[in-house]
Amino acid sequence: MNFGESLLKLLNESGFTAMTWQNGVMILVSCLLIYLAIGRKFEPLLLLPIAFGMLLSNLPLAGLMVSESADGHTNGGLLYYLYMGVKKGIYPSLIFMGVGAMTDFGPLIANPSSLLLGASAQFGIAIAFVVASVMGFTPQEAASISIVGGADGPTAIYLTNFLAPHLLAPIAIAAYSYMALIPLIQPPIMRLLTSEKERKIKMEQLRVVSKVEKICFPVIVTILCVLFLPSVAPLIGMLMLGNLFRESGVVERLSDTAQNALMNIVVIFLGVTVGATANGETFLQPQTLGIIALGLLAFMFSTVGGMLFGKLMCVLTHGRVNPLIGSAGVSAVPMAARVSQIEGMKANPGNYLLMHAMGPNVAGVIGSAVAAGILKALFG
Amino acid sequence: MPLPLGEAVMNALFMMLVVFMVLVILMILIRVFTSIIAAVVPSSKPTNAGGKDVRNK
Repeated sequence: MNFGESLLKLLNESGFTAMTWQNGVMILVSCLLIYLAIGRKFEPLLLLPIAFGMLLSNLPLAGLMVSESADGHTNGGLLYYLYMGVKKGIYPSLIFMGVGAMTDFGPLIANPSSLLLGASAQFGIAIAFVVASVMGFTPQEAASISIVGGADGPTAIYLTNFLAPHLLAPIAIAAYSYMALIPLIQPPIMRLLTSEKERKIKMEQLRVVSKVEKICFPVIVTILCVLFLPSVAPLIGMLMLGNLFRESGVVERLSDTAQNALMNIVVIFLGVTVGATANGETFLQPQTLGIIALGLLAFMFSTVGGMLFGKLMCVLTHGRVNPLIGSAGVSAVPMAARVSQIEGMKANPGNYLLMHAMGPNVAGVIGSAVAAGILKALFG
Repeated sequence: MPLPLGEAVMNALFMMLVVFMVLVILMILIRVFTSIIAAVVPSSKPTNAGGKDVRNK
């Protein structure tokens, strides 16, 4: 074999000859997402691994997502095995444990009516579900798309994986993109739905919550939610286990691991493997644009739902509740609560709404998990 | 096969209803349990920053 033939053989076995236009587009999209994560800092902790997973799976012949042969003689690709954690619903639940270990439910216990704001901010899920059904998506697809309105990445991944796994990549990317864009999406809606007078409302300081209450809370929530909706057990159960680690004060090592080491490991695996599902042939479809538009619709209507209920509470309490905290019911912790705080301070520099907004914010985590459980029970 | 509009609306309303129902019950239970805990465990009485009991204002 001469030099020319060797070179030709090498070229034929390389990825260049197997490259399709879809692969090329997806490589460009992944480079754009890498730029957004690093250059613009859009949810970099998740967007960066997602983008790199997308890049890896679109490089032809690498075979990282190739499944194991039926007879077991040929091994699957590295990402295929890591993807089992997504496929079996393990990673989202472990992330929920980390979120629970990082979350202080004190503001919610101090003001339990925050739960109503967390419930009303799931309104966008209902609207998006109806619109997606009208657009021709199956009930399973419509449910998976609409859960983006819950503004909770792990919940969206968890539900989509059960109901419509073929839509996992666009839904996960839409969910995390909109969560990163909260400071741009929510404020115009908040200003549109509230008056200057309402935004200036100062709320009374929350009471201090005792340690016993904080320890009992995760146990009570787990018993109630799982008895009502057994399908939410993986999400709510892990969320509350993580919180019990935190509040019990006797397992600091476990709490620390759940918050940091374990959370980071799972985020890497989840991000890379979800990104790897964004294969050019399946991702570059007209329905991807529909999913991204519906995700935005769901997100906006969830904000509207929370705001309108906040206004109702403002009226019912004779102006003691600032409606701005309603938008924090969309779950994305703590970004949505920070947006409420920022908008409140813009109207009145002495207005500190952060702790008040954290109540609806953590209620939104529970609310979106409950909504996901209902959709899974209905269409699973 | 997509759902007809009417059925999709009914499913969406049902979902919102159950979400509200679960969270309202949770809200009531939290209020009840925090009261019980405060009564049973005196040291756990919720206080404000000054240490004054603020539960039965």
